[in-house]
Amino acid sequence: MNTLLRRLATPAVVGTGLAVVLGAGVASAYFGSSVAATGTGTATPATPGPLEFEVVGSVGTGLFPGGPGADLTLSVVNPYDQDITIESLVVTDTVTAAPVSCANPALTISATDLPMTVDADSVGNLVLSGVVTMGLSADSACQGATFSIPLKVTGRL
Amino acid sequence: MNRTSKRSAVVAIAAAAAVLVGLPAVAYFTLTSNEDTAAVTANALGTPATSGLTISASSVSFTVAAPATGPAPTAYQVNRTAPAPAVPNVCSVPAAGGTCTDPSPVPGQTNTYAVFARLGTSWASLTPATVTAAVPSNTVTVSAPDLLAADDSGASNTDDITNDTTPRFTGTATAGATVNLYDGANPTAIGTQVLGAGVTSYSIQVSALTGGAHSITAVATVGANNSAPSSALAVTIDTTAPTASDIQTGTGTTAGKIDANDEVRFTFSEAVDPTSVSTGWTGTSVGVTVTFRNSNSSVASQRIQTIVVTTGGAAVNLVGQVGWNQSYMSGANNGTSTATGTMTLSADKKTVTIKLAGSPSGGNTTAITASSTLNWTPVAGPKDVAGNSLTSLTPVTEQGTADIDF
Repeated sequence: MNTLLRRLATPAVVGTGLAVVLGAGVASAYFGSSVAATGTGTATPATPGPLEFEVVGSVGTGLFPGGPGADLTLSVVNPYDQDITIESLVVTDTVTAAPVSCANPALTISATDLPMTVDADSVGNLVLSGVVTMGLSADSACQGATFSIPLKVTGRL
Repeated sequence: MNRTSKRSAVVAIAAAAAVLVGLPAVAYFTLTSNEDTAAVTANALGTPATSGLTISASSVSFTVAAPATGPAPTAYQVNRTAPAPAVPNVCSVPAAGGTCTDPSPVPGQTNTYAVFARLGTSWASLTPATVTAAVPSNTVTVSAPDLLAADDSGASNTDDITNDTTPRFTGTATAGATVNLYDGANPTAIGTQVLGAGVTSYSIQVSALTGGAHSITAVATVGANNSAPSSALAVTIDTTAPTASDIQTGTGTTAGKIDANDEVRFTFSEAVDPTSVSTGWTGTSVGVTVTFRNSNSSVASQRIQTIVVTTGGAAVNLVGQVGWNQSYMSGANNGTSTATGTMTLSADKKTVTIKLAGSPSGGNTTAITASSTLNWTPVAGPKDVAGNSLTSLTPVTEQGTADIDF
């Protein structure tokens, strides 16, 4: 299977305010400027059900106070016959540290490399470079600690 | 139809639906992934490398370098952990690594150091490097400096309060040593002397000291060995002349009338030498004779009174004039009224108190009920404890709210 992951050259073009984000199970339509008339609307698939895809997180390394940040790597499964443009990453719950004595990890998570594209019918490794950074005030007990980050991503098809 | 084909059909139908409602055909659909957990692992600072240990009775040095593993540190911290008590931060090592020198190891004992790499505000090596140094006994000694009596001005030549800004200090040290004197934490020596062979006494005149408190210590050096710093001598440099600062009265028997148990308190700007107020006086209670002399009681601006205080017939260097705006005495100008009393010096040596034992005799003392403010013109003679003479004879006015004096 082709696992090629392409980064868009001009990410600012995508993800503008015309996108309508809906809840799970409802598809939203975005109408680009390539046509004469523009507008927004929703389309419900003939077969009810959410448009979903699968991500699997992996373990990154190299975090330390004031450092350049650690990469966050996700495996993204695109079951569709069209590319998925990954637009955002959402941390869905509290980041936990092990060991718990790391009370102040001073972590910052900022996905600045988005959007990225996962090819149709492929599994892409989504490598978000340096998105997890550790502040200078991180506890010494955070040395060697592992931080679990619950997350999901959203994209456009 | 397989799974992928079904999803493709969903997309196609949705796009077709968009077309059917009259909208352009370029449609995109928002998708949300499942929730999963990614993880990130933090690094750990390694143990710094140390090398090049050199030891003397007065110094321990070694080189600190970056750990072989982990992120690059931004600083190092070296603590002396033994012998007790532990001493943190015995030296400063730059982020790039360098030499740590402990200038004050404990002679005659094994000194142990813990060397940490530091990063951020809190990270320190989980396992510090350990450096152990067997420090030989120190054979170089020096005594605490003592202010030379001849340079300790004022009535006492042992109180270490002087108006000499470049005084001499004496003490003893190991023969042949170079003795340096220091003022507080200033690392620059304020005076130095190289002792000759067999010479164990030093007398060092220091560079000019500013007014105020100083803490003088001595360090002797022979070759590469330094003595431990001596205990400190507290010295006060005072070149400021005292001034009269206040006059107050205390009511004795009858408010507003000069009578038994009345007090007059003369306060100076700083501690005064009692023998400069009255020859031989130590500040303890002494009997005095107090004479009040009237001037023109009918004119407020001319109600200038002189209080003459004597002890054993000798004048006390205290009062030039005392003026008030009330008529405590009536009758002709230059009338006098005399009483006996005591003179004492306050604990801080700033205030001389004259207290009347009984009502004055002679003259006519009268009771007044109006409030007023006294003024006091001092006489020359008083000195502070550093020997600086009162030079300003400018009158001072009673502090605080106007009240009924005497």
